[in-house]
Amino acid sequence: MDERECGLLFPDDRSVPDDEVLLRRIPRWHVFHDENMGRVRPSSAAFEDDGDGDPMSVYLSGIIQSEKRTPDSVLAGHADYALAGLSAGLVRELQQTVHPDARDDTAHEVVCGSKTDRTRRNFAKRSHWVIPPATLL
Amino acid sequence: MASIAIPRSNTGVMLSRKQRDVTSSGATMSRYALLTRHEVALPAFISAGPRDQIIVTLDAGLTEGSIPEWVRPTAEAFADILELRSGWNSYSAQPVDPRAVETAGSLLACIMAPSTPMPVIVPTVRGGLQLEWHRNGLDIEISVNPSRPITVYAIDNRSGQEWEGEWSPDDTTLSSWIQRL
Repeated sequence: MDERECGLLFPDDRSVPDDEVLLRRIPRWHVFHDENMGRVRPSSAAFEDDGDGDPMSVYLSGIIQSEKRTPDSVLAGHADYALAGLSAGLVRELQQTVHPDARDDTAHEVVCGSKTDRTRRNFAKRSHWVIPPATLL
Repeated sequence: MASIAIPRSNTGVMLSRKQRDVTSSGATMSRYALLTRHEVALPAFISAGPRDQIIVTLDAGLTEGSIPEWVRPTAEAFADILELRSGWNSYSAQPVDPRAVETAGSLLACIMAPSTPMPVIVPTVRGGLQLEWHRNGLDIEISVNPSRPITVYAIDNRSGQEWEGEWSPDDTTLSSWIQRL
């Protein structure tokens, strides 16, 4: 979906501050050691829109905290996954919107915008681990 | 010619990596048997064989002991990602399309030298895969999707030199980047 469609269908929720951390589950298939960066990080392939065409799913850390939950609640039922964090500011900088979608989880949001290769590489390199992969624990 | 075969078990039961059987046969035809559920042909290095196999075909004169280091782990990684089922990323991802693996195998056969390091192989949500290298100051990412052209992004982080484009077999640009890994 492009910027215009996202603005219409998934408008940006400005109540989410730029320093809010958006949490994204990362399967082990998308984790590797980047020798250039000297660290294990997610592949850019981990930051695509959903396979069914829906925008990329994330969870708001602020809502999780306000509900007295911990980030690992996002991994419930998903063994062997890690949890990466992206700031809402970074997402907006890359022409994406952050839109609430609390159908299944009050903290669930979607990140809408064109996920070019460059956008996904930016997400991958500028994300951080909230819950690192099991191989790093 | 020599081959590495990655066949499916007769019963169709999936076995873990540890349980995969490794065998070899005659002097002119070497085979490693690994279990998977797809038939995948990877020309030049991996070719069509009996149903539900990944067969890696090596250049004439190569023996089992001289198989390039990247070949077997790459074939195993292909077999592994072909076993992923719908929703493997917890966000509605589609299974990897065997045609994407065939295409990736053809590409690797064109660009890899015996000493080239193995790529990181990652599945993508719409049935494709990415081949990636991040070493020696270089980032190279190749996107392979069953119904789209192969696209490449490469950057030398030291010089800032970048290349982004579609790959074709007669274009040597990608090979020249791979040689620098």
